[in-house]
Amino acid sequence: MESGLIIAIAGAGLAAFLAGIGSAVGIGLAGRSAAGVLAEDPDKFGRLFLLVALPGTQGFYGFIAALFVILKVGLLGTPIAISVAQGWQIFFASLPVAFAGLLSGIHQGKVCAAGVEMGAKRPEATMKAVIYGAMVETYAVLGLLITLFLLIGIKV
Amino acid sequence: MIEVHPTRMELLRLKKRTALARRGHKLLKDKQDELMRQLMMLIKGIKELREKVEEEFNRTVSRFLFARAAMDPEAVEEAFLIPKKTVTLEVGKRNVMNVKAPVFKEKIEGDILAYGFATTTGELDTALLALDKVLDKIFELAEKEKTLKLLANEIEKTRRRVNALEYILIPELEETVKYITMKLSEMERSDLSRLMRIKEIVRAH
Amino acid sequence: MFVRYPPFGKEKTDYAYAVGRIRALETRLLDRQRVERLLEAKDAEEVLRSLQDTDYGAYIPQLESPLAFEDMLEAERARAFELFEELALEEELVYWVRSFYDFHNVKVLIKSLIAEKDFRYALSPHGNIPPEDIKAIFQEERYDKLPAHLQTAVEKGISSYYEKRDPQRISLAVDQSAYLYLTGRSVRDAFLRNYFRLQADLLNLMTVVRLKFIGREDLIRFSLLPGGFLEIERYTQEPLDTLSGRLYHTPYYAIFDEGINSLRAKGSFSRLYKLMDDYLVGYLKETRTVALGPEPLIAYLYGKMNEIKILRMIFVGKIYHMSKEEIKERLPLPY
Repeated sequence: MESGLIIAIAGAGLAAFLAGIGSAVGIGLAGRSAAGVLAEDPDKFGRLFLLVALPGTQGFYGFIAALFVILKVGLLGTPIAISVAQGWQIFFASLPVAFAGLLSGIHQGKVCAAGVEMGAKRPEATMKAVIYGAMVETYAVLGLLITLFLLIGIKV
Repeated sequence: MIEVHPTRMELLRLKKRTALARRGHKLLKDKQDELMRQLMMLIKGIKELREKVEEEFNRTVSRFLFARAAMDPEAVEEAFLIPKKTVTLEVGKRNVMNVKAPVFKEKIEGDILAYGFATTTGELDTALLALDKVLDKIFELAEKEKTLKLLANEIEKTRRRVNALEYILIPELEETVKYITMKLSEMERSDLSRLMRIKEIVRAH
Repeated sequence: MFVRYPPFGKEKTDYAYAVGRIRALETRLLDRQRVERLLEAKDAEEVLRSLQDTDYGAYIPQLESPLAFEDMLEAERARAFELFEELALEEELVYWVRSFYDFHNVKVLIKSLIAEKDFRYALSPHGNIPPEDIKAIFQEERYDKLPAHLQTAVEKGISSYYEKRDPQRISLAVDQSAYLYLTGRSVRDAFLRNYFRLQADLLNLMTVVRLKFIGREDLIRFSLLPGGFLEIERYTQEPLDTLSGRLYHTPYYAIFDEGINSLRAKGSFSRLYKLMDDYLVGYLKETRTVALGPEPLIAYLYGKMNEIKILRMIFVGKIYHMSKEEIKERLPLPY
């Protein structure tokens, strides 16, 4: 009975850390770009802030998904007995948000970095860059939603 | 007036001298006129040539400088480190109315393109070739202008001599001739009057 | 053959900071409007005044007169190199870019040797080897201290001089060695290497046109640079009026078609050179789409040098009372 729990936890952990990595790398890229711009033009901090923060969402999605799993298997109270099969179900259900978060986070970071660089030359157009960044967001959200639907659907 | 004894011989001598001076004066005046004529011809030619040369020179120099501007300054320096062109000038002489005028013969050898092509531009080529052509004309101009100066000097010298003759020597000579003639006729008259008195005295006896 | 420009390298995320800075700095470059306004100036003083609020403004107080503009331009060039060195993450990038000037110094020093004169004023400080050091190497004849590509250049330069005792051959031979290195495998950044390869092609075609124009086709075979995308030998026999036709399948067609026509009509290389410069600046502009990589840095450096060239031409044009159209005809577009 216990092994099912291990697998489920593994899924939750994966969701959290892969999505987290995605955000970290993404923000890292956008942040470094912004640092470069600010080295020459410190006044642009406000405008660029949103672009730098945008890739941060994936980490949260991963967190939510992991939390959902934790609550579902009752780790914070009395853990429910999970069969191996159920454990694997939970594991695979966590994957969408994990990988979507990882990859969309990184790519969103690149888009935002490019947006920052564009903002260096055209500060008035930073909102357009945010929109581009937001387009990548869609897939992270879809990943989260699928994960959540799957998790809801699993019977424990 | 010249200090001489008022004798017939002197008169003769002076008359000869005057004639000589007059002849010399005419010759010099002719020379002066001819020199003037040559000068005028030269001036006309020079004026045109100078205008052309100045315009062309200014144009080629600014073309050259603009061509240079398109290159990195160190590339320009490198291009001209070892030029291949040599210019040798031979100066000969020719005689213009007894004036020794210079004759320039320039020998321009070598390639004006002594640089590599990767760091230089085509505009440099054309600018330098144009500069080459102007150089020829500049030599011609220098030759002509020097000749002009020498001619002008000669004209001035001649003029002074003409004037010296016309206003100093010849009048002096003529004045002296007049004086001698007068003195001679005076002496003749006094001789004559003495002779007449002697004749009277002799007749009285 | 590529349609317009050759491709460049893959993304390098480490350059996020550097590219951010470069993009911010690009706003201070002179754009077309500013260049137009500078062209409107009536003399060099006015040009100088208009530059007060630009990157060049910092140097203006030290200038004795507008005629000393070259000092200002040189200071800015030095600063661009420093910036490049600061931001480039791979030292080799800086090394490759600076080697161009090492080859220049080799040319100067070989000529010094031959003419037995001191040409140190013509040395460039932007090479990898400082001028004093490389001068010492030549004086002591310790050429083994030079890197291999420079040693080859020295050998080729000196040996080609002695073939006919012609100093022109020195420049031609060292330039060939320079481009052999710059377009070769040692330069591992695709953008930079392709930039030099494009230059090689264009300079070769230019050389062919120049030499045919003045009737010195005998020099062509010594003057061709290696490393271009074209097999240049295929075009050397072609007479000028049909040369551009044979380039039809290459991106250089437009340049030489219009350029050669202008040359034959007006006897001036202005248009041709402007088109060539514009093409190269166009390649630099392709880096606009790169967010993460060294290409924008390289483009900024060479774009800056293009800007310096533009300014130099404007200054000279104004000092010598050239007309606006004349200057504009030759002026490349800014980066």
